[in-house]
Amino acid sequence: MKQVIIGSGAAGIAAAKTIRNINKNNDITIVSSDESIYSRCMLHKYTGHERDQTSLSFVPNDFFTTNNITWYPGESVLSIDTKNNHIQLQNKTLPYDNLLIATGSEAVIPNIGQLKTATNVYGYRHLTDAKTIREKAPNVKKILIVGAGLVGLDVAYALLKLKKPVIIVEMAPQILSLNIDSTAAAVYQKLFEQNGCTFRLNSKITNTQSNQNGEITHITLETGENIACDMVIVAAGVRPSTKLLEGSGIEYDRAIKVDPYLKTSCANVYAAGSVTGLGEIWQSAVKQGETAAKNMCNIKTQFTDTFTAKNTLNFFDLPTLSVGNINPESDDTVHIQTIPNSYKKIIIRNNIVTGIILQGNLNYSGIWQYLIKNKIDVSQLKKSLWSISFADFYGIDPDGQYKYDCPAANQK
Amino acid sequence: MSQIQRIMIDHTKCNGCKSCSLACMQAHRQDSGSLYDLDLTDGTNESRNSIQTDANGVYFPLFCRHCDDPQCVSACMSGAMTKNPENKLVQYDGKQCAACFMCVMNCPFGIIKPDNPTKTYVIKCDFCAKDKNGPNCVRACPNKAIYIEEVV
Ligand SMILES: Cc1cc2nc3c(=O)[nH]c(=O)nc-3n(C[C@H](O)[C@H](O)[C@H](O)COP(=O)(O)OP(=O)(O)OC[C@H]3O[C@@H](n4cnc5c(N)ncnc54)[C@H](O)[C@@H]3O)c2cc1C
Ligand code: SF4
Ligand code: SF4
Ligand code: SF4
Repeated sequence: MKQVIIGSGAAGIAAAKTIRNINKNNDITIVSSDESIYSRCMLHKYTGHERDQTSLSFVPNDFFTTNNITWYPGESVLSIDTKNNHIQLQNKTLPYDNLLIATGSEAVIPNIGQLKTATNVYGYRHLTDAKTIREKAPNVKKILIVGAGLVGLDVAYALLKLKKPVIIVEMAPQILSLNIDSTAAAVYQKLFEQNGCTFRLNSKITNTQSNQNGEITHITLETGENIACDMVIVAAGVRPSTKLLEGSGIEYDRAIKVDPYLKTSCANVYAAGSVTGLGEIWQSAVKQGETAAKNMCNIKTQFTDTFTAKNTLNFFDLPTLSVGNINPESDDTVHIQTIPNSYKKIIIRNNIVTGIILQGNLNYSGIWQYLIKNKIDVSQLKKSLWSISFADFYGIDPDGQYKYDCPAANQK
Repeated sequence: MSQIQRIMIDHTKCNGCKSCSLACMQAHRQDSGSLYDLDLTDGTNESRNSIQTDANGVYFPLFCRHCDDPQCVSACMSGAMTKNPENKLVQYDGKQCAACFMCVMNCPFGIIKPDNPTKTYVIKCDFCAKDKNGPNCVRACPNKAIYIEEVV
């Protein structure tokens, strides 16, 4: 059985591991545009000279030999022939019995001014991006980042460590608007500012100016103001990598369409990870990869953990967690606790916790995702919300694994 | 399936003495010494287990389960948190850890946490792997509320 995987990110590697655990004899091949295995979530540690290429890997160095996997690094798949079951590389055709598309996402560069064509504009998705930025950083004077989301702040954090002046332009009135509320965001904003970062919030870029070398020298805001810069990093969202699907017959619109078994519209072709649009977070990609792999090994398994409204951040050794809906509606109850170095906010709707933000103190906080995801009624607990722990839901199986023991009526 | 060892829990026998937590702190302290000079206020000596109470004041030992399907491992983006295929322990490599704390958010039982003083690594049960006598917490428990069993 030839199991072929396109992509060596979270989903692709998790799938390969899973197939190998299930089946010792399958032929497993991974083809990837990446030259090496690395965690995208750690790219800023490379840019900031905290890690080298080797320590960015999230698998042991001997992963491919121990698991007996054939690996084509630095090879892009150009097209997929679903009639004859093979994929097309630059100089090679590879046949498959089962194919997994785990091609992830690409940075979106908006079509404004010369952002798409200028030679000093970068996305922040691949190690090649992090490498180029790290190489050029010593010689640039002013770096402008588009977008104050997680990725924008990741790269800013790295550049500030290198003592580079950074200016971040963001359309929303606060930073990290998708992840945390304005109170928690203001704390990070101040920390970034104290370390040399400038923010332009509520600001929309409408145009750019370039020099004769095709490099952007200024970006223009809606107000007409020009901001000088000699490097632009765009962190304004991602789009599933679907280019290789053109002409394949595999159905997709923005993302690849998959059924609950993560099979695409074509026989023997599966998809997993952020290319399915089911969630742009690491754990979701891993779980999708594992699920698709089981199905590729004829172990029928549905992908069920679709809850992805969860994030952690850690800048300047100040960690933050947010789960669920962080924007309360008018009839929600909001509980806030502020003590030095810790901010906690819990949002409750109809006796059910729908969202939480914890900044500073994440101790034993794993229960919140479970309570929110499973809509557990917490109103019957005769205890302060701030002291809830797994002790309040304690259950244990005969093999010693924990389980939640909540009165059935409490589970909506 | 190979067998694994797990710390089994009979919470009805726990009287909240926290001998297990002290033993864990002592086993993981960075300086040397005996239990009698262990600095309980030094954040680097944190316990990997905890005893919590429910609303009725009943004690519950909360210990890492080294789960069969560990959510902390699937959440880990650096490869620091892994399930050992041989002994089935969920192992944490502080050097590889990137301190993103996705594992903390994803442990359904809220067992793990960032270290208090620096918030740069994860406080996680290592099954006292370095100690040839095995889990210190189990040996310290006077009530046999925690004990080791082989599970298939
Ligand atoms: C800077 C940054 C920080 C992040 N931080 C976090 C975080 O803290 N927490 C979190 O949960 N998530 C974070 N994410 C998101 C997380 O990295 C993604 O959700 C995850 O990587 C998705 O995994 P994937 O396997 O689906 O795709 P990817 O990791 O993108 O992997 C896609 C793979 O496909 C390959 N590929 C693509 N097209 C082709 C082709 N045509 N031919 C061959 N190979 C191809 C690529 O080379 C790559 O190997 C971050 C992302 C970035 C960029
Ligand atoms: S940290 Fe939590 S999820 Fe991970 S093995 Fe321990 S109990 Fe299970
Ligand atoms: S904090 Fe460390 S061990 Fe936990 S998920 Fe992040 S990298 Fe992995
Ligand atoms: S086994 Fe060791 S590390 Fe784990 S809780 Fe017990 S004493 Fe602590």
